[in-house]
Amino acid sequence: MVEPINGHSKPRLPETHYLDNRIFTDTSVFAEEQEKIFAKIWQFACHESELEKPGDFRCVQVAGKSIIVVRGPDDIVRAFHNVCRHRAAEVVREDSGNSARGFTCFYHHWTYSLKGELRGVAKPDGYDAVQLDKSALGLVPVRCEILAGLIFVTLDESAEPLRDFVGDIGKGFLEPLGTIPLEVFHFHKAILKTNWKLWQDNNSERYHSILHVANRKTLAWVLGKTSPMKLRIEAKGHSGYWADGGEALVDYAKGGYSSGAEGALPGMRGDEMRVINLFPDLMINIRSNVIRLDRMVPLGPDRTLVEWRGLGVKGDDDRMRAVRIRQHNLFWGPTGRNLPEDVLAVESQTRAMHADKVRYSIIAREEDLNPTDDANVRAYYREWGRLMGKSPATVA
Amino acid sequence: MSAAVGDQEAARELIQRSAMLLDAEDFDAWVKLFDDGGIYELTAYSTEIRRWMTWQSSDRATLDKMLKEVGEHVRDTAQRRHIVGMPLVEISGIQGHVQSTFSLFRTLPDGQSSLYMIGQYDDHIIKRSGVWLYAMHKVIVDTRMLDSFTHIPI
Repeated sequence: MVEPINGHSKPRLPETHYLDNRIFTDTSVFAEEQEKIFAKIWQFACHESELEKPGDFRCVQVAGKSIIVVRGPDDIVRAFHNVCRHRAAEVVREDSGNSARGFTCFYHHWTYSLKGELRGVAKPDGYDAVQLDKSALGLVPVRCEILAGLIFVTLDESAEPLRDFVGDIGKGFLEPLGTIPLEVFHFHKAILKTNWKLWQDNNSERYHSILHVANRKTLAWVLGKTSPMKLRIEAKGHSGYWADGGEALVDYAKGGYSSGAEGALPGMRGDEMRVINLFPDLMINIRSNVIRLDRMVPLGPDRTLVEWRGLGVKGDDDRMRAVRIRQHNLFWGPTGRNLPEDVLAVESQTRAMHADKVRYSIIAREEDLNPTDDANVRAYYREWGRLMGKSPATVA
Repeated sequence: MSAAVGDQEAARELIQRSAMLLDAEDFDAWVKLFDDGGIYELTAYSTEIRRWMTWQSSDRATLDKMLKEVGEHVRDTAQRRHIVGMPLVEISGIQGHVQSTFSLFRTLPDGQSSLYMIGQYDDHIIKRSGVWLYAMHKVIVDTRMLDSFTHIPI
């Protein structure tokens, strides 16, 4: 007897090979993620080049907290909670800027040094009676470490060192990002109507490359059976994919596009492509001579602020910079070939998942680590489950 | 009508026609508004990284290829509508500088409209065989948080 089709039936697959879609829609799961993942783990904040001079700062959101990242007069990059010790107003109200003389809270003019020390209070005589101890009232520090120019912060004082957190997946990006001075030349952001994991998932799984006309034309493996490019799966949910072979992996000419080989970054071959996904929400995508970084700020189960950065070599002349920008924009800019399609895909998933007519997503492809294998996606959700203390396949 | 006034009128018509052709998705006709060496550039200033950015810079051949592929992409289903302000025109011989402000709206298939983008055009034009064409069609956008990304020029 044929069973009626029911969109809530569990797939007849190992539990590791499917997901309960409610992990993408449930508000309590989202709140739990903030506490168990985002408040615990290292998160990319910005690139070192965004803090070029002493006093340069960036203000970023991590687990719902506003964090100032600033370069000090001693050239050291530090991070602090963006909260005045007086009456808890935000000390910095801009996304970025230079505040070489330190920070002054706009509300009552308490001032802090770039090292976070409380330097002065307005009308100090008023505190004489209580002998206010300024040395105990500096900005609250946040752990901050830098790897290959990438500035990370964590709200967890007991978190392992950043280098240990990154582990062996670092071999995919430490040379191209960390051995030559780079700078951010592109930044745009958008609030996507999707869950944050679906964006990282989209950045990880390669099966969807079939969605992109540009990828179908330039990457033989998208429609072929095998690929010299292989998935790399490392500890802690990190993954990536690239090839060790000598083939020109992206055939731009076949698609009628300009080559990205000129000015290849250290360790990259001409027209090579690498993607590294750091758990939970950073993607490093390298197309030979240019880099894209995706950073996320989850706003709700179905709202995610995504920041896109493009990086090139610091000191490029105008012509070479234009070459890198052209390559970046061809695929990734707001008018690029692939990015608009990816956004449509994850927003479509979110609409359908909220309708809850199909409860499970299938991540069951096994292809010997060819790019369209789902092994990296499974590793990602396995780590999510470990940190959350629950299976991503059985939420209820 | 004097020649000077005629050139000013023709320059304004170029800007309006350009916007209307994009709204109608008549890309073949839109690309023909560019001189052979003409460039389309989309720029914005990022307050986050405190620098000007080039989001797109394409010559006529690249534009032509990109727009011929539009039909192969999965893309935003909204209908777009430009509202272009009165352009300021300065003509000098066969060259001109035209500045205009614009708003771009999106209307979804269900009829909901929203403002998509505002900005300005800062265009350099050139007269070829009596016809004004874009030498540099530069779009400077104020709006950087977009509801949807696009394969179609602004």
